[in-house]
Amino acid sequence: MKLPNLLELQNVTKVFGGGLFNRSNVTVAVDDVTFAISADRPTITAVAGESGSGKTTLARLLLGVIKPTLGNVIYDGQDVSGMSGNDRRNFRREVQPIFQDPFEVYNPFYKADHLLHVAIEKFGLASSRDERVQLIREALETVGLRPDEMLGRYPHQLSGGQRQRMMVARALLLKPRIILADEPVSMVDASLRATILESIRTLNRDLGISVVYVTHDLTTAYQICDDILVMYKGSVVEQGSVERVIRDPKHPYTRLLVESIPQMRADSGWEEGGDEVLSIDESGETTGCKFADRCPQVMDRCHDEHPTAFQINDDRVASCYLYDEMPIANRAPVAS
Amino acid sequence: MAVETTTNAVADREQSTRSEMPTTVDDLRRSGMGDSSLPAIDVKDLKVYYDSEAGVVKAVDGVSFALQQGERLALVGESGCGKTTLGMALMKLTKAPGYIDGGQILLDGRDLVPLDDEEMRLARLAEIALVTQSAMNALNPVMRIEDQIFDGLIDHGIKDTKENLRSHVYDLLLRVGLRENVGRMFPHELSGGMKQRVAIATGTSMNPKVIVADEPTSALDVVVQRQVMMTLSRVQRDTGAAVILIGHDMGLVAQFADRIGVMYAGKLVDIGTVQQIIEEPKHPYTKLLINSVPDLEEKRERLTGIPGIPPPLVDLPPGCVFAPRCPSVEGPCNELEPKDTDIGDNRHVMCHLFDPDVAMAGSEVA
Repeated sequence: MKLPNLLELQNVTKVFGGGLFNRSNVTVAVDDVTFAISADRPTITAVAGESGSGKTTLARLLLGVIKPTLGNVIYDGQDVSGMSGNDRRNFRREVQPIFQDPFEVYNPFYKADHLLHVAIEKFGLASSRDERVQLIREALETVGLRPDEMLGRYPHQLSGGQRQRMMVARALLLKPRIILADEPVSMVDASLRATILESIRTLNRDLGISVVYVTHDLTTAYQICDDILVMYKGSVVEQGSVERVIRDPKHPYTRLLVESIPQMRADSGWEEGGDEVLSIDESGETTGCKFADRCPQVMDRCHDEHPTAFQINDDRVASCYLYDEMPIANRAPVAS
Repeated sequence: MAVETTTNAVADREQSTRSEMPTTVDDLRRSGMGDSSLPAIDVKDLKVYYDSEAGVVKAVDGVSFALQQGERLALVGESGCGKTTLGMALMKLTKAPGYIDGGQILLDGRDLVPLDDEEMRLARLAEIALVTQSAMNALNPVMRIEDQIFDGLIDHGIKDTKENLRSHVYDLLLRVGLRENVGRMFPHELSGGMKQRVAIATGTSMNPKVIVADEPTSALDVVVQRQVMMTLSRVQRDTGAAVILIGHDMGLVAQFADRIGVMYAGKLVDIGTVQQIIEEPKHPYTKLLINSVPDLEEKRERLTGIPGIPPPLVDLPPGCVFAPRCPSVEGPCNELEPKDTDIGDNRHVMCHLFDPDVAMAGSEVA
């Protein structure tokens, strides 16, 4: 029997701007996106894209912070925007965010662990102070922090990496089913990046929490994720298992993205074969494929109509006319 | 009579300085590199300190390296390791309460450290140019791109017709892959990648001997980042300038540079070719740094970072600055400061493990 999906986006579109007097100035931040996190087993799904691809908007839709213009966000079989009372409270606890900036989430006037106490109080997770402190200590240890070094300190006394791991601990305290991490390591040094990602992976492996990892960095996505969604200007251009998508990208945009990753190797410099200077110019509106202007394999039809998603194989979908002999994906989410 | 001699002397001096400085666009086009037997830039024991209430912050503490013409060096390290401070000091743009406490910056044989403000102003752009982190903020929003580039040229004594200046700017724009109509545009009409290219065009407008590029692509997307770095490569190859790239992305610097210098707590602890640093990291910090970089080669069972955090620069530990975090730490590390050791092939490491004069159980001295 197939379990219902844990969290699901059904043909979600989010439009910003516009309004009564200004119809022309609208931004389609997320354009008809469908995907799901399966309840079968805990997964880590990457939502990857460059700035302006709509990945953060997608994350905010998943968190229920903003409502979709069209389509539905479904959590555990229920529409998130229609939730009330206990259901909403439950959703708020079971889907936890970790944000990009570990400096802005703390109030400098309170000790750093204030944030953890508040979370426990709000959701009534502990009946006594001792129990509360015990929970906090356990959570800190799970993410590799030493509680004695953390408790009672002010945010400015902690390093960026410690602060971000404390955010992971906070998410963990609430025993969530899903953690939504929006660029959790883009503000910290490479040396700490690995440590924080490792603690996120531990949550997934050992505690069975599903993770949505929103990032622009395909290398870290490749390292920790199972599945990936590649976004371009609000649309999902390719999705599937991270191994396949990165090793053998099908969509021309994914290919460009993967080729552009600077790899730490001594044997290949970019200069070789790299005298062509690509144009950065882009025109705006199109009814066709949004990548058509930059696509090296562009065809006439690409400019006319937006390509639908084609099922390339059982765990891969790409929205590109290069694959139009393939069956049209039934838009059932590919999450494994 | 006396008055006359003075004016003559002034005129003579002006004459002599002028003859070295380019004054027309043609001069600029002709100006090649200087004496090729000298390194383009030779930094010796440079120290940049900051006075603070807690004590002296040694942001850059005795850094030495030399760069030949056309060579590309990348400086890497965690935030706060002093790489940007070093870059700014090379431009002599260190702001109070920071100051250069000692050392030399030999540019084509001439030391920049003792230069006064006016002499240094003339040297910037013409001899050593900066391409900054956020080109968006470096451009004046109410000036056309070409006017901003003219400004720099005119300010450095180029006196030529508008036509000649404009044709020079168009050449510069073409060289960075921009169409010449970009010259008539305003910054807000350009994308981030285009602005960064304008910054490269401006930085190279007077054929400097050295370009300091401080995280030139950190605000850009990965696709555009690659294009901009390739542009910088091309311009660098055309002009023959030496480039100092300051960055933290090991992948990016491996793709661009010839040599990598690893900085830690204000010191250059390891310097070698890209291949040496990546394939045979020597300093324990370099090893950890290389190991913490995720790649696309294979999925790792565990991602490992570097344990601990860099020390506060006011209160450096005695001995080796990296000792508190070092997996190979031994007795001497906590007492004796390691010195810069040449281990052959122009490879320098600042670690007791490679110093024949220090007795270490794990010594790697051949």
